[in-house]
Amino acid sequence: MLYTYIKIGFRNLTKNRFFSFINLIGMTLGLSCFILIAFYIQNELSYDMQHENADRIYRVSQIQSGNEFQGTDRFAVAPRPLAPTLKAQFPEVEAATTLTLDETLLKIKDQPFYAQGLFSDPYLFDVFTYPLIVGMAKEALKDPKSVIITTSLAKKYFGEASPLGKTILLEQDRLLTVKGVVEDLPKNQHFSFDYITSYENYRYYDESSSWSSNNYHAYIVLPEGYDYHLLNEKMDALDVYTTPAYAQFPFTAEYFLQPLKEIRLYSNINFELGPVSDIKYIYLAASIAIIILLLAFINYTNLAIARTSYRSKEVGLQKVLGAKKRQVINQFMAESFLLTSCSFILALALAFLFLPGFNALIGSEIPLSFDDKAPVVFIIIVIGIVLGVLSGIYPALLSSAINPAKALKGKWLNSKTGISLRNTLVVGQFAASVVLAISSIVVYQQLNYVNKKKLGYNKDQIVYVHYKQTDFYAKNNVIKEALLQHPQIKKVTLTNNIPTNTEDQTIIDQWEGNTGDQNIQIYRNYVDPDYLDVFEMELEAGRNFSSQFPTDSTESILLNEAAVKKLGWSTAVGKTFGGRKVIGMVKDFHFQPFKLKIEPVVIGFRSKLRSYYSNYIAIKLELNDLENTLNHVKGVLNTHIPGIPFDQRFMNESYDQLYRTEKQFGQVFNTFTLVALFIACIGLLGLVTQKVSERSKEIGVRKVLGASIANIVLLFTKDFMRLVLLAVIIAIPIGWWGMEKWLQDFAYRIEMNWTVFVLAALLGFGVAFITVGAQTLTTANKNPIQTLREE
Amino acid sequence: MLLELKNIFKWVNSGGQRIFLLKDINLSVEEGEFISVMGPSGSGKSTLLNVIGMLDTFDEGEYHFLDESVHTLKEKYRSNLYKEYIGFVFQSYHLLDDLTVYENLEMPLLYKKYKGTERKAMVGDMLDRFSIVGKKDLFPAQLSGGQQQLVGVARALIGKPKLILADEPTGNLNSQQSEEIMGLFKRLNEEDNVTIIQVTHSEKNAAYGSRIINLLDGRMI
Repeated sequence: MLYTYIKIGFRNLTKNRFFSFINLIGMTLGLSCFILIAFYIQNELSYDMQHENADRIYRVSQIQSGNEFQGTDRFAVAPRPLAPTLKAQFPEVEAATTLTLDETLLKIKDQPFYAQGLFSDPYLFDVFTYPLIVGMAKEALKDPKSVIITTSLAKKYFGEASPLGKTILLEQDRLLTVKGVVEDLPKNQHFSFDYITSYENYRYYDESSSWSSNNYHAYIVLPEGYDYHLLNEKMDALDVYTTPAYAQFPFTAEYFLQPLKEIRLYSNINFELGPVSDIKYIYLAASIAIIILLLAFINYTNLAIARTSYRSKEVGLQKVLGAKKRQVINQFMAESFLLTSCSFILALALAFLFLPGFNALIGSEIPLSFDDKAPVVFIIIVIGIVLGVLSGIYPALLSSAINPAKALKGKWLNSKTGISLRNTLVVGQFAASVVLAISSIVVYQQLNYVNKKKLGYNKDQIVYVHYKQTDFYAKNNVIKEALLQHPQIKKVTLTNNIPTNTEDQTIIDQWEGNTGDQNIQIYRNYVDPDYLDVFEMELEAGRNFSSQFPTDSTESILLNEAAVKKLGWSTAVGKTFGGRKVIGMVKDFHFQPFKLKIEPVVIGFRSKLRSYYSNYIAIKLELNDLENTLNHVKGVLNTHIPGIPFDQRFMNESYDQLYRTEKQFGQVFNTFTLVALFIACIGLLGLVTQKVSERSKEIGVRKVLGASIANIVLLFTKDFMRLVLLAVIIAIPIGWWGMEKWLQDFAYRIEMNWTVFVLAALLGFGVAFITVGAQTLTTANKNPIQTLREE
Repeated sequence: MLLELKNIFKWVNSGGQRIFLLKDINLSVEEGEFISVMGPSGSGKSTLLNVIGMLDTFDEGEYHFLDESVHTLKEKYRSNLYKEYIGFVFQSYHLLDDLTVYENLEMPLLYKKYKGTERKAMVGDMLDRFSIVGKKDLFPAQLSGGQQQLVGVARALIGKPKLILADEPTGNLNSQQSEEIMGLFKRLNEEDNVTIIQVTHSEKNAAYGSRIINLLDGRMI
């Protein structure tokens, strides 16, 4: 019997190819989206979970009340004494480690390259689980001359030979011996590295370890079942160290614990070790996934009900021939099941096929392997079966209730059946689509605004090189002159920060007019006199640094407008600030993403090496014959600093990187808008098809009485446009509210105007019109005598 | 002369064979005639009516309607022609269920671009003439079969056609209702000079007409 159900079900599906096809497409599309998003969520939730003690590991972070940096006063950093002190003072701390990350220059067999180093104390392995393949782990970290490398690094530079005992040159002055190899890390960790060595090899390591020098990160392990909030409070006792250490600062540090598994989604504070996400994206993704899945399955029901009207004769005949109600239901369920499983298999295949594209779209690194996804796939299968049954049961019950006598006469049980339900569904589908369309448009407009807004500096035709080699500094001027030899290179500047990446902040408490104990937090940059010219920044008042004024290098500074405003000055030139004389005021420029307001900046003259800060060469060049010019840059750097790989980057590309998340956000919305619109159209198509078939006689009558084809099409589209109008009315406030929330994150943003909503509404109307029009047109074109034929 | 059919053939191809639905039909109808088309099932009565009503095409022959050569006209002109001059009455009335009697009567006028006041006058006139003013706000389902067909005839007449085509107009009615409708047709034919062509199975109804055409297997006999 089951075989018969499936056989007949299969024939029914192939008989109505058009319906089966759009049904299959709609459901497959919805399911693939759902599966991909499920993978994404699973990946996000699995961050840092591979450590044995994952549930018990905590990061010790700090709040520096009053020290606001890039929008928050929370910092993921810790001083070096913190972890050992916690271990010593609090018995509940089972293990504690201090670590930090740094991108360093390595050299293996005369091959220089940059690699990410994890600098740590030996307790690293007491906290985290990094499976060792060969050699030793904890012991290796006790000896600063040892290094542990990852498998991929070993493979890349040592091949198949055992790397144990081989040497690696770190930063050109330290020879380290490979003592161990650990497995490569999964991608879903909040920080990653290529090798591990003792923190004594860290660039900024020094013997004395001050409590106010936050160059490290501290992680601890607490006992099973321990409430970490208890320790949070106990850590107030650390004031005895922090209070004296922060005596010279206008703020102090307070420590707090962050569970390891919450870092990826709940943290997002300053100086994270790697990119983090936000739980709100998980919620957003989950809602989109569920909505799309529901839309897809609702469609199935929708189309199935529509088809019931075509199939009433078949069902009537089955009943006359003795089919029981249950058997009719089984027949319909078999078809539903057949279609659901087909699209599920297709969707699963599609999901894996599209995974790389999806990764690129949302900037994730979900691995293509199947093993880790087995539990998710299982859950998806269960959901698929449940929804398959649910979506099939309603049309099945509906059909089984058909009165065979009426059905054989071609009259369906009741033309109103399920119509209000299905109208609601279509309104819901279109409302969702229009909300997504509104989001797409607003995100696009905001990004456009970000791209077009006057930045206050020029980011085009600028190539920059980031370097960390301290011996580089002495050769600065030679290199600058050598670079300028090339005819295509117009200007060169040496600076500590470029405008896309200003991270240096300081606190100043001396300035003209500051009588009390006021202080100002101000971003800081050190530049040479060509800086303003290269980036085409404008002076509002005063003058630039100049070689004609020898005292500039020791006595002068520039301030931006925001700084002058914050200080409450009407004019700045000639006044003193932080012990130096202000010689000019620079027009405000956006040195931080548009999410943050332009803040005060002080620009000093770069007269000595400040090893703690980054160093950049920025080159303004002509774009013709670019390759030649870039080769020249490479040549100059290689001549003066041999043996170091340099990375030349384009300023405008780095600028685009700043808004990558927003761009991805926009792309995701575009994609899902299309998917939702498509699914909504299928839903609409189902509704239209049924309406048209129910009213085919009416169409015939109207045509005989003189209606033109345009009259008929209009008659139907008008009805459906009402539904879309309702959807638009529902969607506009939701879209407005959601996007207003999103825009609130930006200090510089567009205001939504009515054109957004008109555009989104037009999109909804347009797509609906085409769908309804196309379907109605075929019926309207039919000769009325076919539909009016008397039985 | 109202219309003239000359050597009309209509066929379909089925299984490599040509099956004739209409075979060499020659018919001319004068204005004011009342013709009954009779014949067994499948003899081509409805097909002939559809061809005359320009709802269906034919494969061979000539059709002249009021000096227009229908067989050379394009679809658009054909539909303008029947819209203007022909009214249809159906066996199962084909009133629109969602519209009231008034709205059903008004519908053909909407497609002929009459102004609102004109429409009102014409519908009112028709309601008066058929004594169904009291039923104008009812829906078809609230009327008896006879009343529904009354509305159907009124709807066919409202555009002031020269020709009414009725396909078994009393097929769904009981004998008393049938007599009423046939009486109505007769009055229309005699008093208003409306040309009527009806398809019928019943000798009694056929007798209302002035001429009977018998069809068998697509041929006039």
